[in-house]
Amino acid sequence: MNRKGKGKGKGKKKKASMVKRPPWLELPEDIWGNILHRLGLKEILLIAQKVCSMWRRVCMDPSMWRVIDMSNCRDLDCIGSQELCRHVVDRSQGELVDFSMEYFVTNELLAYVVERSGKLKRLSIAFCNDRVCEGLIEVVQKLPMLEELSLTHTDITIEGIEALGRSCPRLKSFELNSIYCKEDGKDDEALAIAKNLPTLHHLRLIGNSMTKEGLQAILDGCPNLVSLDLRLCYDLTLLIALISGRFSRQIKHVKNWLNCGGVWPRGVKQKMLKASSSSSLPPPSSSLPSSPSLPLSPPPPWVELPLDITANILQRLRTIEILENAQRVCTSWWKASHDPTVWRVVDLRNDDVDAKTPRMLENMCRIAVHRSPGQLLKINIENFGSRDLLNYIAERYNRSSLNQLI
Amino acid sequence: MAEASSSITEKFFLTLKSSDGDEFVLEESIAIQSITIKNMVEDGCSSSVIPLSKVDTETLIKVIEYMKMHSSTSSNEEEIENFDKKFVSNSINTILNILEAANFLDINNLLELCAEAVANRIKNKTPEAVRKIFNITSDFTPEEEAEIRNETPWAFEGNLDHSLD
Repeated sequence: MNRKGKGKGKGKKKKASMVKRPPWLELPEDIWGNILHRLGLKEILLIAQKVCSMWRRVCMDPSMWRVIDMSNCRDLDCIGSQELCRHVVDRSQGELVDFSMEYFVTNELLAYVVERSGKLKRLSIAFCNDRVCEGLIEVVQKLPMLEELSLTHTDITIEGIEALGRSCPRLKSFELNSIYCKEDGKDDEALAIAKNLPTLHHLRLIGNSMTKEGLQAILDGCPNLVSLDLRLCYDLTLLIALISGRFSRQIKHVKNWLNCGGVWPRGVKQKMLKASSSSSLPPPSSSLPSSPSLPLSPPPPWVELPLDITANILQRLRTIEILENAQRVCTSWWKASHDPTVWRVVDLRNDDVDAKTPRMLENMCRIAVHRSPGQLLKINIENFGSRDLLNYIAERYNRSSLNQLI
Repeated sequence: MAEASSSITEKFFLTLKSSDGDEFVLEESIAIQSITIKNMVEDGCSSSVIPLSKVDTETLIKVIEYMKMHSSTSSNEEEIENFDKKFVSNSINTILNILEAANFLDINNLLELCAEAVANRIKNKTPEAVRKIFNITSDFTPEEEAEIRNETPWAFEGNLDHSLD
């Protein structure tokens, strides 16, 4: 492709003779805007704007301040952060569309921000606990363009969620995250979301206390949902409902969260592991528990639950649910579903499994029997089963404790 | 690959001419990653040599390398990733020349890649170090200097880097 030789030498020679002022400063200012907006808040304020008057002009332009992330200003104290926050909001001159802030937020500061930022599309607040709880009701009413609201360790009241639904018709994404549940089995927040935020596409409720009913309400109330993140939600009815795949048709886009046991918000995993090591997990039960209530408090990250606990949960599912759904969720569940304790009771009665052919059922039965070396106590088979199958079972159990074969 | 016969040059190949007068023949499908060139082709100005008066030979060679690697016919993602990584390790002067060319030729991916690389060279440096790296002379008046100093009283603690790498 290079018709006239490399030409490289020539270029270099030219350069060596040219020790003048760099031509880059003649690049259009919007290109410099493109470069400098990639810098963080601190880098813009402390470095870029001090280099030369052109960079300073670029840094003063409101368009540089559309996206402001104040979530990593940890080296400032609270007062300093608040002062800085006002300064950058002033600079944005109403152009702010995406703002992330942290622990330093007060109701007063929040009011200052939203008063001046009517174009805000995304607001993220972290680590404020209940400090801005009341203020949020007012705040969301001033943000008609809001599309995303993210609250991490920052409470919102039910009235707040209602106001959000009333005032932010464009809301597509909502996050309400915590690393520990406040109360078990409470559906207030889930029900309020289901009732007031029907436009949601993305919902993240890490560490929420909702039950199966809360989840059902959300799925019914938010028909546009394409992603749902329920990590660290450990209500047992919810857990079993999810494991069993009973919601898999409705939340097929959501399943990924089940597979992402390794992905945790920064620092959360360590805290959780610490919490779970100091807690008293119930010992694995040696007989079949009669009631499906398992006190897990405080909650460990449940994908990483000890194998025997996971097996304890899985054994409450029907055989077919384990084989078709639960064991495919992640490697720890796959391992747990091979634990013999899961296979003490094998129930393959037909009213449960109407859509399966006898052949499939027979295969499932063999798998189940195979995985239960010596542990099978009870097996229910209906309307299928060949001499072969019965021989297969009998061979393995002719002297063992199998005491019920229906 | 290079020496294209004149009979097919008009249809499938374009000739790009650098500001130093060097000519490069390049497949049209590769060259039209540049929106500027694409528009010229669509306007029918591509039959003769396309003069790129703002791009010198050294820079044009780099830009062509980039376009070849990123054209749809070549290379897998991993190769491209490695190429990009190596590409941005060019000297800052070269990167800025390429950035200027990418802006003129309207090659968005290349512009983004270079802008990111330039920004990375600014991070954590003192303003003085940045001026040296970019060969920029401070043109602030003493009054402006004072104003800038007073404007950011927040005590950020982070250490800025005085080195020039």
